[in-house]
Amino acid sequence: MDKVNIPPEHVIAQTIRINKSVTMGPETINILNDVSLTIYGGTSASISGISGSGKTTLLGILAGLDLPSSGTVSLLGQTINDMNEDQRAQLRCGKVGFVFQSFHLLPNLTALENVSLALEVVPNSNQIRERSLAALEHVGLAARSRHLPSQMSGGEQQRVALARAIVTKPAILFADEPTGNLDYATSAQIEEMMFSLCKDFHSALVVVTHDKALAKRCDQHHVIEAGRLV
Amino acid sequence: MSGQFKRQLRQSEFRLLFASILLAGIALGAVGIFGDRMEREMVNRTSAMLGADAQISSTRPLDDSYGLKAEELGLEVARSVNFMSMIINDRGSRLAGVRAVSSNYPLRGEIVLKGQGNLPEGQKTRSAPPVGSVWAASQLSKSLGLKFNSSVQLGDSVFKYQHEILLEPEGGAGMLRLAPRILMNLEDLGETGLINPASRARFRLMVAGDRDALSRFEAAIKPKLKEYESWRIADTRQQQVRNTVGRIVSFIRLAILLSVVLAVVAMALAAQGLWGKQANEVAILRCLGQQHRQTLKRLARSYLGAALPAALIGVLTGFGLQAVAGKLVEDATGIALPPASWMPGMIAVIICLLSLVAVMLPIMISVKQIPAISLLRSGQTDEIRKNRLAIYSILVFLILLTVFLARDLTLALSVLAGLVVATVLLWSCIRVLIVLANRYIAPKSSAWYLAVKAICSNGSRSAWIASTFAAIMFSLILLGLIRGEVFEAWEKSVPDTAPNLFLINIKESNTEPLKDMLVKSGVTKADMYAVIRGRIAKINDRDVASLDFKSAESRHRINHEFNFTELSDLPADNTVISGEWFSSDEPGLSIERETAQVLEVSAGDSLTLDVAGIFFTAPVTSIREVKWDNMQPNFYIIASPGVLGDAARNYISGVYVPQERGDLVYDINRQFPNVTAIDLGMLLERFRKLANQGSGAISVVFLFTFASALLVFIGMIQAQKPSRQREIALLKSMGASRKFIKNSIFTEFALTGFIAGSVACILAMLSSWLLARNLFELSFNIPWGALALYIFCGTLIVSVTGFLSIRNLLNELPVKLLSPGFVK
Repeated sequence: MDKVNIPPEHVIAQTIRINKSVTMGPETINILNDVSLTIYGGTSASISGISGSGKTTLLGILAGLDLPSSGTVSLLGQTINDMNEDQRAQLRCGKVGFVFQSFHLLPNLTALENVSLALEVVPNSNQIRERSLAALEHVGLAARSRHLPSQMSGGEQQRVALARAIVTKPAILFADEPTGNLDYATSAQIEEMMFSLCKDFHSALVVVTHDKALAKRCDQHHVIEAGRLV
Repeated sequence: MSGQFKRQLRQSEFRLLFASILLAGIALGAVGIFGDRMEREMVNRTSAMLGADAQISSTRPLDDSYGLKAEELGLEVARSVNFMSMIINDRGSRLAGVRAVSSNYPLRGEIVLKGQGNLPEGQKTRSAPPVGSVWAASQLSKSLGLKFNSSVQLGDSVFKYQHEILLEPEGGAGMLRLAPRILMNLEDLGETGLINPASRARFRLMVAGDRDALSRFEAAIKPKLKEYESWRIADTRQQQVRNTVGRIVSFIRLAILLSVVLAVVAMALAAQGLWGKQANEVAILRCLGQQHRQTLKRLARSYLGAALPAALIGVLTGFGLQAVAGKLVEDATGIALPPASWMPGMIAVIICLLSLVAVMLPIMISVKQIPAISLLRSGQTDEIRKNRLAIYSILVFLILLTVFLARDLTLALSVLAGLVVATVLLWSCIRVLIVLANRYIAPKSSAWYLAVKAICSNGSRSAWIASTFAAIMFSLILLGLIRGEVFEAWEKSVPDTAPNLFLINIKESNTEPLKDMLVKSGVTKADMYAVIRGRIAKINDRDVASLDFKSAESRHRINHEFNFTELSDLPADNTVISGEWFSSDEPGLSIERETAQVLEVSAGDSLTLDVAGIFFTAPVTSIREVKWDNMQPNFYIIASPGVLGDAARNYISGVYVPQERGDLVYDINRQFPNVTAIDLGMLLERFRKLANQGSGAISVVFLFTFASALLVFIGMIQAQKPSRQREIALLKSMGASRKFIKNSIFTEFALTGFIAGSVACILAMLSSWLLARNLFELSFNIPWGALALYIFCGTLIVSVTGFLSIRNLLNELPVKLLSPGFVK
């Protein structure tokens, strides 16, 4: 899969006046209200807010994991509103990376296998092992390639997750509280690595975080309150 | 081994799934193939006893059209004529059975000849004596002092005595089939002048061939059978509830059924556990951009990649095991089973794969329900794991599989109903216990309290574990109880002192002298039973010819002669199930249950019996259940003393003759030439061999069932491991010692095991009573000692297996147990 190079001035992900509401019994809860946001290629953006403010929902919609109730969303230059889940998956395939708060590594796979997984889903991938090892080297874990997640610390697991996210050299990386489960020193290390890798691969970065320092490091800083950007 | 398969094997749930399929393959392969060989051997034996696969028997010469039809359908055909006649030689004469057979007799089984001249001992043959020669049963040969090549006269013809017969197919029903007889070629029969239209002879047309042709033949000739003609087929299915063979086959089927049902349950548990982990994997793959179809392919490849080798290895291992079992049986009994057929093996592989499909398909269908977004929302994949469709699918599959494997609706329904009732009852018991424990047990710091609290606070989990434990224990106890009953029944049915000599055609005047002779010869019990031959003339004063019977069987039976007897005491192994046994001087009749059903009579009706033109009328006062395989003289109709007046009668007796008095039969023949002595020693020996063969097979089958049960235990504990992991971490972080947690977990499992075991025992007793009564036709005694042992063993197995399965969690630090990547 060729790397998607999107110049800085190009829009890579965008929401235009989106709303998201869910129905729970007789009640309808509005999670996002009239949110418009634009992410440019190679730039970084943070989304902060208190718990339940809608930041993770916004991240999911931006990444094409979910759809808004109304409004328009585009990802990698395509409007995704009318796409089904398979079409959105195809759009993400090899071009979008993810880092989660709780790592989401597969416990029965070694570090190398976890990283390889991202390449295995991309049709016609080649040199999977070599590229996965290179990604692990980028995060300083080549020596631990044969270790299972249970044999690693939290910081190491998150580095493996980071290697999995960047192994396809994605156009955009979405990170949901990437340092939320880590101590201060490890958080700093992961943060540094994430920014550096995104810069190396010209990937855009969207990060949901409570960490003010991390948020401020990004090119754009958005705060969300009660489903609205403020 | 593919990379994906290797990765999957790192998961305990996947290993369990693999082991379940492997075990199902072994159980189905070994037991299925072995059971098939046993069953074919049983059918062969039944056929060998009949001398054919089926026969038409008649009191008059048979129409040629039957034979022509059989030949047209490609069946082999043989004929025989059986009658009693005087056999004369230079030493004297004897009344004996004569069987004139066509040259290709027997079609099934063999005639075993005694060694003589160049003929080795035990030479087997499948042909009739040549024209002009006769062969004679050992007993007859000895009593007449027949010498090789000596002359024997039968009617108007003189034959050359050629061989002594050690064993030959019995060929029919009734005591006379066992009478010592002479075998001759059918072509010689006409010249003897022994058969004329008034002769009392039985004409048989025997057929053998493949099942389809037999079925077509049966369908073609059955409607044409006349009242004096009967059809008999050598099929264990028709007789199985009545004989040893049937019990072995039924038991093996029951055990296979339980093994496979348990293996499928283990598979389902493993699959559910596996799915719990794979739901996350699917979500990750969706996030990374994998499409639904690709995910399905990936999962299917992974499951089939595991199932196919597991099933094949299992069935091949099973094939090897059954070969060993077959050899052991042959060494122990000298009986070589028919060669293994591949069909049961193929069926075993298909069942294994279908089981996997039933278990995994609903799970795979639910893949689509897993949105990638679930990774961002904790708990969403937990909801998806609760796959109701999977539970329904497994239940439906288990029902279909049970019916298919049991091939017997009663057996299938008994097993399933038992399992369902056990599970429901256990569920209820545990729920009640939880409510009571919550209300009455005061909090205190003890492992015991923590165990009770653990059961109470995880009501759903505890009830599920306990009811599954109970269902497994129920199955094993049930199988164990039935196994014991079957063994015991065999031992009882052929005790060492079972009658081995039957004496028939005893004249009334001979009864006392014969009794004296028997007693002097060491025979301890020599009861004489009167035999009065006659027909049923009227039922409730209506001529039987005018009665409109529901079934052809009724019409057939009513036209045949019965052996009546007169007795004042209810014979052993007879049970009155309706009405009352003769209690006073009032006349009465007692009818065997099935005969009463066929004749459509019940207690209170009256029968008129026709004995040689003299009529005797008496009311039916009782209906009896008769244990036919007790090796004692049994009667369909018993009259109270005096009912049959002075009707002509003979007597019969069944006695046990100690081995050292084997020559008694010759003394009887010499002193009472009219008495026919039937030596059952060889028949009993064959019966015992068959029982031994079956008992060996049953023990092997039981082991497989036990192994399947253990897999289910482990599967269930694996399924609850994540919640245990969190609990242990929590307790440890709050300062609970390793010993305290260990004791509480052990106590929790022990309590669960005890409760599950107790209820399972009660239910198993009830079910085995039902099975023993209805399926195996055995009486059932409650084995109190064994039950206590079962409860103890159940508690022990549950506690030890449960504890060992999660012991490794106790050694881990709480922080590690709570870490997301931790997996044991």
